[in-house]
Amino acid sequence: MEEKEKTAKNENKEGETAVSPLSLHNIYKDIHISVKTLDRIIAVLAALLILALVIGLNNRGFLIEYDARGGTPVEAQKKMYGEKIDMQIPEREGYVFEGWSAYPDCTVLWDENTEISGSMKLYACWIED
Amino acid sequence: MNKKIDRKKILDLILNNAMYIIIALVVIYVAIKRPKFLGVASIINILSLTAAKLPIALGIAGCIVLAGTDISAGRIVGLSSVITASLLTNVSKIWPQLTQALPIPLVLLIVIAVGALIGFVNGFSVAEFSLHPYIVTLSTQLITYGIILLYMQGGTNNGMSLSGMIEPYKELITGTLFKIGTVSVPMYVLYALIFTVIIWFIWNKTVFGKNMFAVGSNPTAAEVSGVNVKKTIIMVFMLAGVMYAITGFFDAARIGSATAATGQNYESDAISACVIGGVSFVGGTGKISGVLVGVLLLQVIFTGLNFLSVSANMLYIIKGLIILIACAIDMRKYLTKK
Repeated sequence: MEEKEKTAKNENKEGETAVSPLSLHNIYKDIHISVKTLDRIIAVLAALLILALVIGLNNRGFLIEYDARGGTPVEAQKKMYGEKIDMQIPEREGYVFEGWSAYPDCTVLWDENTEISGSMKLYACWIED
Repeated sequence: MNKKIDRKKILDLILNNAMYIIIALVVIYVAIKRPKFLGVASIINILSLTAAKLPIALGIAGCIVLAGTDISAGRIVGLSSVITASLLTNVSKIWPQLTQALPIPLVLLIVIAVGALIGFVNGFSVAEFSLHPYIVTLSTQLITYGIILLYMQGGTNNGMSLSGMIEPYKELITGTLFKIGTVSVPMYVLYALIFTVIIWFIWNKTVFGKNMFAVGSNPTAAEVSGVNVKKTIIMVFMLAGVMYAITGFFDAARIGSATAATGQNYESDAISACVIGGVSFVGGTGKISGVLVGVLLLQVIFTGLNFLSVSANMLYIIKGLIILIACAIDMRKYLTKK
């Protein structure tokens, strides 16, 4: 702890004596770590990355959520890349279902033939009957 | 003895290139699982997405060369995108009095001016008040987001997404540059290449570029040798702001709409691309070719994982780890040199 404070003080002193804006300085300058330790850290991080990749690959699928917005609820679906949504039509009293849209304001309706390329939420678009 | 040295050399090589090795393994895996990944359509998709993200990475790279960073980048892209979308339409809800889209070059100039202004605020605060770029750009990131949200509430828009941009603008950005088979390469790929050449020229052939590297590697020495450090810092951040604005200008047409979320987290991809590409946080080190390779590699790995339907939730964790590893490798290179 003490040593850390010392380092910080030294840095301040350097900052004061310098003429230029020393908010920009080498961020690794005061790092005291051996290359060997760093190598181990890199190895651990690489292992974690590989683990994350494996977990990701074992839980594949994009979640397609539906917000019926007052209509009969539609269950979320899990779809793979390139698949299409299972078109489901909710019902709502006094309204006609126009279609699903990725935008809450229904600016563009979702074309059921569009291939899925990621998780998304679709909003029901209604027109008053 | 020789064997020991050889082993050390091999270990060095593996650790310094750990990121490239992992990316190569992922690409091989994806290509085996989904051979379509190496098809023309997929490769053009990767190249187009790389082109779309190149300007922002080129901008941020300058800030990293200064031993700084810029986390306001994504929001500046977003602001530029919503301004573009709101002005290049014949029915602007944000500007109801605007019955016709403004001329395209004028809108480009407006967004460039906005990007440069925010870049100026970033650069000025870093240079004049000696604030760390992280803190400065964190605050401008929040301020810019606030401005985006307020702008989206303007007129009769009520925060809704903006779309319906005029055809000539869409054609200018996403029109066909040339076709390979049935797949077309969009125009913005050409623009991204032009900007890459311009930034390469600025970095390597101008006094400003040389000053930028000098300030990045040692601001004190740069100042002693007559470089106007403050001016250089301000200009680097302004140039970065302009590049973000251009990214936003492309994005409105590329995505086909603009929302308050446009550009969110773009800076994280751009910063990781730079570090993977060898633009060091030490400052004063970096090449345009490195940035290009970094953006491309990241795009390859993320498109590949997307092809395999890996969810976005997991991609965040993977992205975070990639940044950590890239930094650790960057630090390792610095320590072994020292």
